[in-house]
Amino acid sequence: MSDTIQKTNPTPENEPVYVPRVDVRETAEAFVVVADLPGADEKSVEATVQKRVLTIEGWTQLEKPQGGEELGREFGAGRFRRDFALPDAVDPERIQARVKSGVLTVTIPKKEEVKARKIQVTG
Amino acid sequence: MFELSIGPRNPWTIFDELESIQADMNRLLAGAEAPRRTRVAYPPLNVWSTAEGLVLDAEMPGVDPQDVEISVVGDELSLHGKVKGQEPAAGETVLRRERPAGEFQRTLQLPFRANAGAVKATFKNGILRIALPRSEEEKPRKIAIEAN
Repeated sequence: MSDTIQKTNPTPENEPVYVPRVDVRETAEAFVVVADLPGADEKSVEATVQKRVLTIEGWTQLEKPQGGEELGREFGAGRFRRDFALPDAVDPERIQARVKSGVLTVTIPKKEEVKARKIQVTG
Repeated sequence: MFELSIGPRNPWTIFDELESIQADMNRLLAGAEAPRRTRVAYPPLNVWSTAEGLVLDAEMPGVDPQDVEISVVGDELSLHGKVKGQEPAAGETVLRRERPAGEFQRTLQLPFRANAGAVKATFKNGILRIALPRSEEEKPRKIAIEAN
């Protein structure tokens, strides 16, 4: 298994931070990071790239029903963050991010020059 | 479906090397490469009691609501469905897989018989909310006291 995209250390924070679960796959064109962020929408999640580190972060909140009294809790909400070191072969300018149904998909295109090309062999 | 992290990292973690060795050790010991915590059943649920009955939130990011079946019989609620995993297409390489996928089934005993016809479910940002009202016959009744 290749570890081209690796988790790096989150910066110290004064509150607990959830680390979202992710799937990462590599296609011919790009690296794709898919993160579970239940409760998050486009307003509460942010993806940034700085010094070849992709950071996804944001926050979620539990929506207490009106007049509700909590009986049990198996999942929480709050701040979340995860960092990924990007390989050199990607173009940070063309990263795209999209959130749907509490799932964030970040597409990190590879640089043109590193994409595999088929070279015509002439005889 | 968040992994609860340790929170404030102590200064030791500046030593990336050390942490990476530690992570490798943990991986070896746990026999798994992804950060995992021993989990409750899927989907994890938060439960509230309301004036009408119960409200349940089920955390299921990325699940298509069409793939979830909710059934209420008497005082039993059952959730059944599947989380579609994305199979890598030809030429794709999976570098990391931490998100759960597959079929799930979870059954809960409710503290009352629910009015099955009035159960409401909504899905928003990966969270399924189910409102379960009490059945009519189980609603608390106020009894008027007759005065002489």
